[in-house]
Amino acid sequence: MSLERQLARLLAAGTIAGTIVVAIGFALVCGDVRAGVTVETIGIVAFVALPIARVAVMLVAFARLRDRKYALIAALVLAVIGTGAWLGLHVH
Amino acid sequence: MFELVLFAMAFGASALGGLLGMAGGIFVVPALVLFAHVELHTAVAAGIVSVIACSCAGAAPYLNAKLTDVRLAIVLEVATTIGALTGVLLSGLIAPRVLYLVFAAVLAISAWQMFARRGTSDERTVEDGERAYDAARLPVAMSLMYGAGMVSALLGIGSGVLKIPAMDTALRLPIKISSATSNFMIGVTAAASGVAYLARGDVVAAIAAPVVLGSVLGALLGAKLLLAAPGSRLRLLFVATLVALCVQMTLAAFGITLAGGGA
Repeated sequence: MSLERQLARLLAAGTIAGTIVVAIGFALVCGDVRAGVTVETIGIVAFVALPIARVAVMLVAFARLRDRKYALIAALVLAVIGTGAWLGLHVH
Repeated sequence: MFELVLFAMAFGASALGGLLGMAGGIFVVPALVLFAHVELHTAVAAGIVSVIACSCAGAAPYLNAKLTDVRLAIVLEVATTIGALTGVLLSGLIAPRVLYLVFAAVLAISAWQMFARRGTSDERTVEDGERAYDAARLPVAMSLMYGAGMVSALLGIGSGVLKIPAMDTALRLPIKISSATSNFMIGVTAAASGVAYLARGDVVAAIAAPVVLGSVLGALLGAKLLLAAPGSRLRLLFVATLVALCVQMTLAAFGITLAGGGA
């Protein structure tokens, strides 16, 4: 399967899963169920994680192709995103 | 009840955007700030999450049609994500009223672009033109992408409106490849600021969730209707909406709100 198809599958499946989880959470919140906000949060975190997973899949694919340059670039993007998490925790 | 209003607003914004093959993110944050009176940082964080969701939701067809240049995307993403982190750092330092003005400027650029958008006659895909761009112009594209990433993080939008012309003019890519690749990059760009806003506690689930849900469903509906949509009248409606929001954001920057109540 081509890298493009692999990425398309990952993003499509992830979108469906994330949308279902957020929708369940939203329905619970509308029904005044307390756990709803937690479910919503899980869905939101899943959506934020999805593009990061996409970069990770690209990193693995480039590494398998022994395409060092692009594997390194993908790793760099992951490192920048990791720095973002660190910034969020430590810089206000 | 408030949640349903947020959902409806995001749904409408996204469907309208999707009708013209454009992300509706640019409507969501102003609507949250101006009409729902959501605090700016919370609105931006909710915008970022909805931008990620819409990018992921729209990516598959472009990828399968080989319109997305994934290698070019990952290279440019180095610049967009670093730009996003710069935006995260700046967001704490810039006064909201200055951000309103930046937002008004981006709305004006979007309106102008939508008004003057050229035809999509270039049907080339990535396979036909293996690396259709001139690598010597990559540094120019990278600096433009850095700026686009920063604007995305600051305003909670995808800033495809800045990415597409950057690829268009700096790399001279066919418009369809620019659009597909821009949409692909938007998710990762927004994820870089998204993790920061999540960690910082700016993402309020009760606000972000209805916005995300409305955006994804609205974008799906908009894309469906796009097939049958009549062009020019809709485009004018879109331009008018952008101009109206631009005016309101400018007024809000000077402390005047027309929509009632204090922002």
